[in-house]
Amino acid sequence: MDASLAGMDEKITVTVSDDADAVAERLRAAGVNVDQVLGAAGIITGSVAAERRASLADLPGVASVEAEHTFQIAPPDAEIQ
Amino acid sequence: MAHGADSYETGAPLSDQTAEFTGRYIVVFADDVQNDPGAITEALQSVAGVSNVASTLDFEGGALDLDQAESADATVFAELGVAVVAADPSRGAGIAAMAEADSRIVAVEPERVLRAIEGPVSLEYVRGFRDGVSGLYDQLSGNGLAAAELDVAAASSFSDNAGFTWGLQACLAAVSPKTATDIAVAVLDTGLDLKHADFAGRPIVSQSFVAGQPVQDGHGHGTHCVGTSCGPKAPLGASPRYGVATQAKIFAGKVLSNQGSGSDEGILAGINWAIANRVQVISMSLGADVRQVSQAYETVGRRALEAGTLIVAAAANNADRSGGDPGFVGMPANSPSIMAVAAVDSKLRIANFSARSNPVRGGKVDIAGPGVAVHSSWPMPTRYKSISGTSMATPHVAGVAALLSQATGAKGAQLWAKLTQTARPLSLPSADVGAGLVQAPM
Repeated sequence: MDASLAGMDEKITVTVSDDADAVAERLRAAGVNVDQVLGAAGIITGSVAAERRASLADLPGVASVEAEHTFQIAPPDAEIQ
Repeated sequence: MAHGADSYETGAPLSDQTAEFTGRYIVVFADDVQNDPGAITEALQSVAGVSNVASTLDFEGGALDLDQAESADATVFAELGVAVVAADPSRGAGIAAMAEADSRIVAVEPERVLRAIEGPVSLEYVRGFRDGVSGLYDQLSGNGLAAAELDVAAASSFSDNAGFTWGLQACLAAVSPKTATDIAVAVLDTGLDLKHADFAGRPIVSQSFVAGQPVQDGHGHGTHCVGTSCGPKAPLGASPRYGVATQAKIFAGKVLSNQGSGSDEGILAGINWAIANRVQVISMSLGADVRQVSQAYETVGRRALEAGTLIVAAAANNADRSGGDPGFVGMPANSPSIMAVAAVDSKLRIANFSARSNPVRGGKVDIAGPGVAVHSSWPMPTRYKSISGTSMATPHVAGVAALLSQATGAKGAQLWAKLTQTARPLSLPSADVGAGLVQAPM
């Protein structure tokens, strides 16, 4: 791990394959700061220290861990939106 | 006939089925003679005795000449390895018997009646057939140039009039008797102008998933998209009707800020909210120019379908077709379980900015909607505005999905199938428009 990343928190989007509340507990225990547990969607959002992120994928009930995506639409006066 | 016996023998004897057939037979050629016009003509001559053959290979881009097709004894769709031969039932049976022993031919099937035909071979029928085959040709060849020259039987040019926007006319919402009563549509966007006169009195459930910003739309994009999908039957201002599902229950979720930005956190929370509220349709006019499928969105799209919620999303505006760049379907529309929507203009041409299918699994365009010069609601005091984008095509599809759900009771994957099955085929590559132009139920 790049030393410069140590200690920096990354926003993550976790897809769960198990009961979301149970997975959220495991993520917290693994050092994730859980922001949202979205039961109907089966998604947990939060942040974690960069050096810990890779290990999360091995937790039971975790289907995938992705860096949070961001979206930007065009400004209001743009012709194409 | 190596494998074709099944297709011929599964039906009742030909004499009993004559009324259902067109008086033509479809001859399917083996792979090794497909694309070899000489071999196909030879095979046709030996099994059917016909020599006056029109072939799509004779015409630029595979676009068949109608006059020639009508006068020929057989028409060969070389790219498909298929020929259509005119023959009465007894001769058809003879052709099938001859083909049985011929390895160049895989199957001979009576051509089924696909629509009402006036007279033995109506020009309209052949034209429909040609358009369908041209669409297939485009799919196979990736060439949309010839298809663009084809005429279509239905109206192919629209304009806003006093009663309806061009988009409502083109997707048949203007004439559909359905209103989406009892159907809920969630629009996940920049929110909604809750004080807009055209939405006064409508049942609206709203929620902001953007920290520190209320649902009230400080951008405009969300108000425009809610307008197209769910705007009223009779706008209060000087405006034609612009909304598709006029009585749908509106769920306005703010997942993009007034500055137009958003993230997974808010968008997935908005989807979760919509699923939990059992809405039938989620409209998402948002995306990122990322080719790779996100497992999060794909999983959520699948779970939504299982829960009876269809998610439609804008394909992307990253094309510059006039500059030679067809772009690519972005995330999350590139998820296999999320319907990707392309934009066409009022002459049913692909919009210059509308993204083409992306080779990743699920990355294809699924359907098209009106998305150029779309008039809809805008936050007061502006009230109405005309803008373009796959963002504007998406709520047309979402609104029609709501009408279809009301008309058929279909939800989730079933609703997806209804939308694509009832879409109007366009003379454009499916890589650009998927199943074609979305159509409201009659």
